Amino acid sequence: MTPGTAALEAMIERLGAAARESAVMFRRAGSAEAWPREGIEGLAAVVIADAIVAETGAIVLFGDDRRLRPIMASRALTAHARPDALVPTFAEALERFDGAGRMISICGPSRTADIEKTLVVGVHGPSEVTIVLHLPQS
Amino acid sequence: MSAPPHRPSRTALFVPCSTAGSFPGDVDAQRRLLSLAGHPGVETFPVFCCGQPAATAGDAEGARAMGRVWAERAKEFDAVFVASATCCGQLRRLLEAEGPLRYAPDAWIETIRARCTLPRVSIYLHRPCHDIWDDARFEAYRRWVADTAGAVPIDRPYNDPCCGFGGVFSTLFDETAGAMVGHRLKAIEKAGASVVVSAEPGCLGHFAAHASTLRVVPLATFLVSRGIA
Amino acid sequence: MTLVRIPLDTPTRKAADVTLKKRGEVVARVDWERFRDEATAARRETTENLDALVEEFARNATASGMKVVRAADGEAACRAVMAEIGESPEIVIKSKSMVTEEIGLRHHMEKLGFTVFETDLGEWIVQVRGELPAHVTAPAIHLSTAEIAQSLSGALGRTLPPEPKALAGAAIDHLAKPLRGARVGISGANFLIAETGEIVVIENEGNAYFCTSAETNVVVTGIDKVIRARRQLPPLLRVLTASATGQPQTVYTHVLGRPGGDGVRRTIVLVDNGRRDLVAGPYADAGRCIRCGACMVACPVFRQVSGHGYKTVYPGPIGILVAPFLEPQATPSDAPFYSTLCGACSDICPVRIPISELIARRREDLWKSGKTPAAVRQAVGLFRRAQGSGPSASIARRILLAVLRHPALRRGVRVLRAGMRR
Repeated sequence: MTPGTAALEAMIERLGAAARESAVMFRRAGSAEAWPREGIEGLAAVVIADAIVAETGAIVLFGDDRRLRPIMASRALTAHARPDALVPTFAEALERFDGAGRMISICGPSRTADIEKTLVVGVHGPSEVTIVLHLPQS
Repeated sequence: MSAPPHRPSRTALFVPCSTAGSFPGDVDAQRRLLSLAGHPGVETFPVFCCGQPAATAGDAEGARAMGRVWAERAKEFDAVFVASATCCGQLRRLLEAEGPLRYAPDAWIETIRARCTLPRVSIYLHRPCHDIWDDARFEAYRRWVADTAGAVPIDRPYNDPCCGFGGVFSTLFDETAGAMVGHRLKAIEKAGASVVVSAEPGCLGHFAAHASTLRVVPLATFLVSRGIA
Repeated sequence: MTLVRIPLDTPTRKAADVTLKKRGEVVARVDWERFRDEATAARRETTENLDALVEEFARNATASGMKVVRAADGEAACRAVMAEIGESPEIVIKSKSMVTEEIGLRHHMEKLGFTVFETDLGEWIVQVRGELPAHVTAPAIHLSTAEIAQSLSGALGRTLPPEPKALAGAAIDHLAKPLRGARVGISGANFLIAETGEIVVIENEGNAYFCTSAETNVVVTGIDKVIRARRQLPPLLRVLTASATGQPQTVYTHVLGRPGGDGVRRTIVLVDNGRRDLVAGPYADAGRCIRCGACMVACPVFRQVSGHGYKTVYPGPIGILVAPFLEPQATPSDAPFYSTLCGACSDICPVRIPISELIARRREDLWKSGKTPAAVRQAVGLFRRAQGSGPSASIARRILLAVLRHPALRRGVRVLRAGMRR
């Protein structure tokens, strides 16, 4: 439950102070102007993957349209996954989507080849993508 | 189809309009190769066109009418040879039964075993878009040309099988069609071939109209020039 | 067709060759014909059941919480989009959508005072140049890096080096704030799933994500994008991506489901604009098109003149078939002749549209309606006469042989008839 404005502001102030004391980096992300390339987007996004597609190395996330924005606006994305997230192809990942919000499949860093078919890696979505697969100790 | 007993066997060579226009000298070479292949004394088939110009222009009725003229005269012959794949394809589509229609290069490949002894020459052997041969058959033909004529056919040095002629296309858009075949000729030359060879007179005429340093020669003429017949 | 690139190898042909090579590598690694069969079957279901599937999609999308608006034509579609956006001009971000080119949406919005950022790099480049996209998935296929650098330098007011990474960097900087801050995003769709009401968008840059997650997202799409079932999506995505860019999968695949409580208000404008007529007649097979553009990169004519040679929003071989339905005013009357009928398009089409055969049929339609270019009609008349007997046949033969013998004469004859060109 989101607190009322005055109570919210008070909590944010306490959070800011606590973060400084604990050496935690803290950013307020408000309007677009608050997301300069060196600021929020320089940070890495870390997610737990809802699925990992073995055939293509795609990270699949289910989520609300706008809640995925910080992930898509980040320069680097790391997805952690357990083996039960692994699916053979996109078709199986699609089967896991319950239809709420959005399914996004992220297959590598953003790219374009619109200029003479020359590949440029890193456009508007994350330009570095990592998958970390957590395997049980045997 | 065998001749009725009261009529002597007659064979003819159909000269497509584009051969008559662009490569009239090739007719004699075609005759010589047919003779070598066991068909001496072919007459000239007295019909001008197979009907393609009407067909590709969208005049289906006109193409059928032209095909009927062809079919009617063909009844007088036991075999009518055609060296153009596109004409052959057009006639096969129009005629109810192929009857006497024969694709001349089939006859040449099946029978001619001569071998050229001249030094090898590098050629580009052009294949029409509407070939009536499948890939395997065309490959066999390519090997036969190489062995028979002492030629080294280069691989097609570009991704466009089409030469840019397209019949009515090059009539309407000759600058674009010229730029297209110009690209082909430049690439062929760069790939080291000295001659463009094809049995397809429409394509060949288009190459010839825009070639400067490369020679453009019909298949039969080329084979004869290599001493085969 | 009047555009001719005089340099003997064109950027279009070179770019098309890159796509064909990459496509070949992907095709060789998978059971391509099976995916093609499945994709073709799915799209055949679409064209044979278009009305019912659109109805089902609209029902399920509405139940999901999206607003669904049907637009019979381009004008209605533009009005429907504006109704969602409101009257106060503001910044709008837009991702790739051929339908929006077809209906002239951006032009419509700019006239009303809106600033529209094309966020797909290729689309931004042609926006800056005031051109139509030259290919359905590679808008700037006709341009060299130097030409792009020149255009973008002019637009941004500073000199950019002719280097792809620098130019893409300039686009990233130019679009960073609008992508993140714009409240209105307009997007297209690659597929609409009837059984769930879901919208599928594929992309590589990430810009479509931002456009579809703006506070107000208006999805503008042709009704022909509908498919019956989710199950049909994977083979369609495979053949579309391999055919369009030669990739096994696009970087981003979005399946837009039920909008949550997070503030995205999504409206989908379903545009007809001639699609129902297309699938109802003899050219229905062309309605299977998934807008991959493979026919274009395979077409010897397209590779020479690029999309601009055809004068329509939808160029190339498939454009010859669909433009008369979707953009009849813009379609040149001689468009069916912008082809050598070589058949490369039919061979490569992932959903097995017999494109070349249908182009030949268009020529027959033209002939029956008396609209074949005069030069062609006259030539055919000569050939038909030459086929006969008697003195007029003999004269016709002599004229034709003279023209065939001397190509220069043919050009002279055409110069005299220059009036036939539009």
